[in-house]
Amino acid sequence: MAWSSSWLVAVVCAWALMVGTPASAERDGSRVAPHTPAGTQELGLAMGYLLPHRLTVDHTTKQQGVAAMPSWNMVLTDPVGDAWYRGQVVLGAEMVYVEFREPVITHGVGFTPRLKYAFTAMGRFRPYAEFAGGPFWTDLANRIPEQSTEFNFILTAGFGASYFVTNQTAVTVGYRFHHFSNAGTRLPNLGINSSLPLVGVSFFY
Amino acid sequence: MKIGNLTIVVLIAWAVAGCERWMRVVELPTPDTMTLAPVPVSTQKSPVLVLTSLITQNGAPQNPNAELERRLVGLLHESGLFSHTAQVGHAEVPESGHVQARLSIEEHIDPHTGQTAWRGFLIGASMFTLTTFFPMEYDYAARMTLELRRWDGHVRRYAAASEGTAFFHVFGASPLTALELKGKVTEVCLAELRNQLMKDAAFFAANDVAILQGSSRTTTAAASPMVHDSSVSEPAMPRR
Repeated sequence: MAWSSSWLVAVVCAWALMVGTPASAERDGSRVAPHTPAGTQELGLAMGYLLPHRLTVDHTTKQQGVAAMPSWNMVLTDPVGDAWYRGQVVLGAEMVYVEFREPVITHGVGFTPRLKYAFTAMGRFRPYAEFAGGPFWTDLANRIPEQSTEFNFILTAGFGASYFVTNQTAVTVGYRFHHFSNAGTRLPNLGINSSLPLVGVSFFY
Repeated sequence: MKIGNLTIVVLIAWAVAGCERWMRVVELPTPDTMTLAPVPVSTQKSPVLVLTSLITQNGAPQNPNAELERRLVGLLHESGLFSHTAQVGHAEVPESGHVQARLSIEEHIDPHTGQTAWRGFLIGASMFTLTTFFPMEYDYAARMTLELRRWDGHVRRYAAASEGTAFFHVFGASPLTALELKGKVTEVCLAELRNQLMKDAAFFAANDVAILQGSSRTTTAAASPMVHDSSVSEPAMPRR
């Protein structure tokens, strides 16, 4: 499954590069930053691999697995600021699918609204910081000592960088910290914490 | 089953409402047409450049808008007040008997950035359920002043102003929204300028002197660099 996920990422990236026709950006001789005014919409797909963090002595499970995150985003504002922090506020929503391969093969799916601040002062290279949160269901929870309910909530914070290979297509590399828990609705509720390095591709229109 | 159907209907209605966007454009009152004192016409060969434009956006000078200048030339051509309209470089301008035009545009843009960001945060935190309750706003206002200098030095100044607001929900956002709003506001201003020109048609009627000189009344347009000299008594020279 991990191999098929890797192939999927490779195929999507290759398709994005072909559709984006990088040569066109060079033909017009333009090296200016892509234009993403307020109202620009973005469709993206990111994939990564969850790595566990046992933050307390009570955490014993080493959960890990592949994560896929299709997303939709919208640029809310025109660039604000005049220095290195010049950027745009982006609002979006994301589906999160996780296939836990350790300790047992289980699945998780969630929906998270996302807020992102994308720095636009560096042309085609755009670092960002993001925060997301929402409901998350997983059948891993009742099979491990840390969690007792299948319905949980996921909180995510992270950063990364996007690079516009064309004026409409960008590739992304990033990192997220994930926290799953049920908000104290039932015990035990130690929470599951993970790191998620990810890569992705986005199309802007 | 009925609750399920009702839920589906509500979700569809919510999704449709979330894609809505609309605009409100109003024309602002402007001062009456002004007639300025005649100034001596230079006996030297007149410059080819006839139409210049000066655009400021929130008080900051901007590059001239060639497309807007072409629209204005088209507007002047449609008015029928001038025998020939052309752009500099595409047609010859007679040495005398032409009308010089200068267009000044003051733009004011307010994207309500802070309000939009906070509303986006609230919409996201509400899992998008509050989408239809928090529309985003984008304001655009323009004030255009068209100054026409006749071949004998008489000058007339016409002004028009308009403002508009574009409203849109999150799912209905598009980069075209701001462009559509600007287009509508610009069209209102240009239409008002055309109406004022038509009312003042007699000012541009050829006199006997002009006919004897064999002159043709011409307006030309050029995408010129920013012009900082706004004095009526001095010719508008492009900044190099």
